[in-house]
Amino acid sequence: MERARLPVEVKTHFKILGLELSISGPAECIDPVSFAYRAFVCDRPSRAAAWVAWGDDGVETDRGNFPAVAGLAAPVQFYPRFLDRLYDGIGDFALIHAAVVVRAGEAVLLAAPSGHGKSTLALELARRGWTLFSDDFAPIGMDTGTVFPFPRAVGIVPGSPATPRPFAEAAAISTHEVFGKRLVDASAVADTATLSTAPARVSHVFLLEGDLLPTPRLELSCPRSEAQRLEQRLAAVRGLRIAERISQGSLDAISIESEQGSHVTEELNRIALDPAVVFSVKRWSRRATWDGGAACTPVSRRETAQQLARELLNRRPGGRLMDRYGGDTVSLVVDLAATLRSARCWRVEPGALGLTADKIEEAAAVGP
Amino acid sequence: MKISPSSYPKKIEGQDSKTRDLGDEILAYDRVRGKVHVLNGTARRIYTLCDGSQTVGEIADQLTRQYDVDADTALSDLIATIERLVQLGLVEILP
Repeated sequence: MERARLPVEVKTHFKILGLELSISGPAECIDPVSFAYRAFVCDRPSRAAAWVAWGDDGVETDRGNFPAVAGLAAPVQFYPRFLDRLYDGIGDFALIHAAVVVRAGEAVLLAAPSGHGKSTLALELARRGWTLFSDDFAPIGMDTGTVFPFPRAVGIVPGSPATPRPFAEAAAISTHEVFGKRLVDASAVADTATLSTAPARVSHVFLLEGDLLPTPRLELSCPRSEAQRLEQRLAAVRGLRIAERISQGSLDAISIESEQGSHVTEELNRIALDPAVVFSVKRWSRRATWDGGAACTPVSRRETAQQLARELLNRRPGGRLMDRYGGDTVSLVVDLAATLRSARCWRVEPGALGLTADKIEEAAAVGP
Repeated sequence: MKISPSSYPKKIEGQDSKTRDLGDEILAYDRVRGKVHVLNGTARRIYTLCDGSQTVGEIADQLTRQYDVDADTALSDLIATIERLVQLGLVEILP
């Protein structure tokens, strides 16, 4: 993409969980990030060690450059690099992929991979009077064992029938979209008294689990304009099956599985590196459908920590958290388990949204 | 080293190991061997009591009072557990 075509350059500075991070580029790149993270905006940082910019040749960061991909909109290239830089820069917190709600100073984590209903369930609980800390990120202090609020804008899939009404209405009129989700400022929707800035002790962890798939699937997200070409590449691989294509706003997610006994890893890895693939997710279970009965069963803190570590957002090699552990993931998991020392942990089979929220409230009423 | 009622067992804590008490169990991570040992129930209790200040006999007395077990059984089970903890590199016997 030619830089000359892009509108005027904008700069924003953030302080996020101790990381000072500046971004610059055209408004179309900067605006969605600035909106999503506006609670973290600060004046020019004292030392802007970390930065991400849309430059002459693509995304540039203080840790390396990423050449522009032809045919892919600049914001779609910029946002993931911003997230990577954010994750890599956070070393004092385990950034767990979980929603967090709080009541009476005690935090409840709702952990699951993308698409398994974290946001929907957190918003339902917020509607019921819980304090919303975050719909997606749970930063747990490795030294304190407490979870900190992460007041990023909430991402809502437009038109999703399960989204609680006040948030669905806000999503319908939102003009900011990232990865197929409309961004909504929760503080503008929820009672502002339900928002908090103080960290909280983790009292319960709920692992949301969808129905297990017979075979794991790989989900490749790409711009809709590229989906057909990518499907053709995938269809040409013997032993691969395209299970479904899911719309995610301006992106499409192509879900694929390998036929029994097929070994297609090498070819699949080549396709996953196609420049049109914005991100890929491996799935072991089905997305939330919000129907049927719900159940909660206890699970050990050790198993919970192992599962949370699998979904840890800032465990990439070279990031500050892994540097702190000298690259030793096991040591990190052991410490993560220790932060759950006072927590009760549960495995949740989600059912209808109301029933699932009831079960969680019921389990969360049991003291540690 | 043979473990007797007068031995002083002590947890080994150092750069090569990390232990974390989760409340219901203790995780003991042996960095050198790359293994995590899980101590639960009585093993957790015994490991916690191995602080170098009490003899095996004194620990056995505590366990006898705490659990519904006779003194001889408590002592022989305790020695077997400590031997295992020593083998795993989690406990040492003070000279």
